[in-house]
Amino acid sequence: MKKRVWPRVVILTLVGLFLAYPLYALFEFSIRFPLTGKYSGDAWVKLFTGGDQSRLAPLYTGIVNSLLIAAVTVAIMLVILVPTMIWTRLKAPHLSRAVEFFALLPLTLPAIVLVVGLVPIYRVISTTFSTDAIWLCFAYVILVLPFSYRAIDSGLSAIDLPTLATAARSMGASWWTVVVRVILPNLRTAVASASFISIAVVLGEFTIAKMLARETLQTGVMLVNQAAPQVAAAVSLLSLLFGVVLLVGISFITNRRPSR
Amino acid sequence: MTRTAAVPVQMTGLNRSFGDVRALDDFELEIRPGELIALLGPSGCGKTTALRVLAGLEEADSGVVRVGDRDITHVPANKRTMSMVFQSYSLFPHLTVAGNIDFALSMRKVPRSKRSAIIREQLELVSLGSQARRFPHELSGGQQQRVALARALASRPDVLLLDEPLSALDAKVRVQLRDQIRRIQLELGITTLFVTHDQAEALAIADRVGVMNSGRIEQLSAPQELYERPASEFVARFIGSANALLGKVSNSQVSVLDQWIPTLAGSVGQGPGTALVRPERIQLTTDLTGQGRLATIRQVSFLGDRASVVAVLEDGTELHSLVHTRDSDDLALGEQVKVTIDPAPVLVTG
Repeated sequence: MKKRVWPRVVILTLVGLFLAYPLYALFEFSIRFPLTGKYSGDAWVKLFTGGDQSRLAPLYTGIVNSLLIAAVTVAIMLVILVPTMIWTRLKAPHLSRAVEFFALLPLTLPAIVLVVGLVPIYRVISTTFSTDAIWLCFAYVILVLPFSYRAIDSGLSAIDLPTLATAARSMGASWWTVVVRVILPNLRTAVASASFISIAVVLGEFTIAKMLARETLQTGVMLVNQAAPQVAAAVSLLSLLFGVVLLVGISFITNRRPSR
Repeated sequence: MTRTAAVPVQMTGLNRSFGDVRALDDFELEIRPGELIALLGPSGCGKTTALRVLAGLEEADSGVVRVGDRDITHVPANKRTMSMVFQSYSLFPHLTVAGNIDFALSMRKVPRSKRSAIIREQLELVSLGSQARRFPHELSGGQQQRVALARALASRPDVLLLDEPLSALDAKVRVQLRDQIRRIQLELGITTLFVTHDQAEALAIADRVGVMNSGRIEQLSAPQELYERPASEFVARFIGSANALLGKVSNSQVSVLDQWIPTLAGSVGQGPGTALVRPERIQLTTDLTGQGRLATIRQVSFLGDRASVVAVLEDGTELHSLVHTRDSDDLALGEQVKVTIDPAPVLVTG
């Protein structure tokens, strides 16, 4: 029986409009002067040419900081989570529930509650080391844990980990080789998903950065919003689009299979 | 194809417990150079644990494992020159068929320049020469297991370990691969331990079969001897099937169904006992004039070249017999037959 196409097209169009309209509104705000109603690409020009340095400085600092924090957060998250989850599955499956519980716990804590607990720790970090925004990476690792745990967990569930590890061991592979040459290549998609989601979370995070008085993309947008709201709208739009690109990237690599 | 310099394997006094469960209980096994031993037994009897201890994937609580003249009891798995094929398809999904074999060769430090030739040779050995560039998900289950076998053999291990490698395959492919494994094993002369719960598979492929029960080998014998001369009631009942017939033992003979039949070593010495008689040794004839006990046919099941017949004696004892299909034509339900037993030695238990 021939399937009808139009219901799908209608639904997809409606959903697309629902999601795209706020983005359009954001874009429209970034190019229209509210008082005069005139259109101008000034905000975008300033953003990309570096004009109006003094007012946009917090934004540029925030972008650089956020990208650095995202990179370090992803690195720490992977170093902690991947070996722990592999080890738990191979050697201590009875601990997997406990690991899952702790990994998902941050999901139940509002960011503001997390900040209350983090403030004393960051006070020590600020006095002992520095007040650099990069130290936010530790707080963000906690924040991204539930999302990255889920991504890596589904990747591990998709492969017969014990058999692959045992097969490699019986061929003479050390544990390092087993992880690097056998398990990780089969977790590529899961690791990429976990990383992308983490980057998206870090770039969008505001509460913790604001409460701990660190400069990130979102605090930068907020500051710029007071002086140049159209530039702030342009940056917000770009960061949203960046998030969309990351999610499309995840979907693309998730659907890919090895080919000849 | 070059033959491997075959080595013997000795597993002596091995014990291994998991909590309260004793998986290996003073386990002993000696595999001769180039021999294929099948470990057979019910689930939980310890056969896989024995194989994993030999592979180094499990450490025994006590006991010694020797390969050749080397004590490898405490040598880690990756330092033992053994290879393993598993029940589940264990090919690395991200590598091609050739890549999988190349991985095994790289682990054994085979020079890169020699690897291509070995990979080609291995794939020819398992009749998959044209599949080198395919990924595992593009192969059937049987093909994947053949690649796993080629990968296991590529590095010329001292010992080949097969952990129920045919269990996931369908019946026809299973028989083909079973024969292929045996052919290659004989060709290479590689010492092999094969673990299975399928007795037909074990009896067909092995030089000797070890029947395991509760963590130890009850009997280790050539397949035919195992079937015809079981050393214990467990082995007699586990291998094939047997009719348990009450009888009386005297002077190494047992009296069952009005016949005197010699007893096997290990049987009850004197007095009452239970004779374990294989179904194919229960003979049925429609000629009621001869010797034997009267019975009535209750059931006839067609099994291909054989038929399984259930006959009931006048005292209600049920006998299971296996006859050639052509002989079963005369055996109609409800018909009376005379029953005799082929007088080869039987095991009699207490």
